[in-house]
Amino acid sequence: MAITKNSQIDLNGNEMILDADGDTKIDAATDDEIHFTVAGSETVYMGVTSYNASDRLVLTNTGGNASATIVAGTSGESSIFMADGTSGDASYRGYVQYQHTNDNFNIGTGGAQRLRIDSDGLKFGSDTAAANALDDYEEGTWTPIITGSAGSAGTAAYSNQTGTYTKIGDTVTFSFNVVVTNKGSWTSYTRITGFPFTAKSGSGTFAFAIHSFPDDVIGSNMVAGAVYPGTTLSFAYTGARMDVLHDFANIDTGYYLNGAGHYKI
Amino acid sequence: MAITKEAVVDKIEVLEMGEVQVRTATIIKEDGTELNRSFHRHVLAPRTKSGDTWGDTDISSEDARVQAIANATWTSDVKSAYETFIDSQTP
Repeated sequence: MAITKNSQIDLNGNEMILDADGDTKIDAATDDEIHFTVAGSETVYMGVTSYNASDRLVLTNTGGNASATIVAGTSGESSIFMADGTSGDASYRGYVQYQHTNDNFNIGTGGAQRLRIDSDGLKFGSDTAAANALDDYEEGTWTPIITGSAGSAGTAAYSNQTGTYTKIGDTVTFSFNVVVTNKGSWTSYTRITGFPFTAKSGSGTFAFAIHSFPDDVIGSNMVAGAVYPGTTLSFAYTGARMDVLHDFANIDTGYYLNGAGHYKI
Repeated sequence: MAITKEAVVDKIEVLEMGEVQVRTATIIKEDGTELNRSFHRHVLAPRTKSGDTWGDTDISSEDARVQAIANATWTSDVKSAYETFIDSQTP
């Protein structure tokens, strides 16, 4: 027997229609589930559902996007808490929380904050210092070039120029391989140029390792590099203390350089 | 099924001394849906030194937006300051 009041509420045993055209209702047509339908579209399930057995609340829009909005005041917090008790940190063992006052997003486990995201970037634990924020991650390639510090490119040519980088925050980690097939008209000191980011100014040089640098005739035959601050170039060094600029005359056709290191930006 | 590959300058940064940092994204798409995106970077300096001689950096092969930004940034004062800075920094 249906119960009707002003053609707006209809209780017939498994549904309650809440508006005049009958497209907004609460029903229990499926056993052990309550479905909330608004404007003809089911939007909320409560109870056992076919999505996950543990679900107790499901928001749906199978025809498109679905979302939930948690509104708080401009100095309040919007949160979802994952609790296994009713008191102390048991009531918020896991949580995601947006603090509107400072516009920071927090993620907690074990009742404590583990991550914070704000305009500075990603911070760990309860840290709020801008200097400790991770604000960028990027991987890519660059084109290393071997030149001298004087002379000109002329007919300089390479059979391989491979460079890769990973930028994490303010640090660039790089590697490169260059094979020289024609040294051109370069002279003076050996340089590796074309680094993917300009190095930080106001600091010392950033040293890096080079190997496979055959036929170096200066000092110990070992060579290192140094990226110069405020530039995208480096010089090669050799000698017992790695303090002698490498002579480009010792580069010749078929020589190759592998290098790797990191610098600040 | 159409596979396409395109290179797009997707980031242009101007630094304090006038260097223009350029990131080029290579994008692989299948029927318009992006499958992969990889990056290549290079930096353009306001002036380029060849031997002991400074000259204008060749940007003729750069993206039009990069050229516009570089030309707007690289005033005579910027170029001069960059030369002085680099000469003070490197052997």
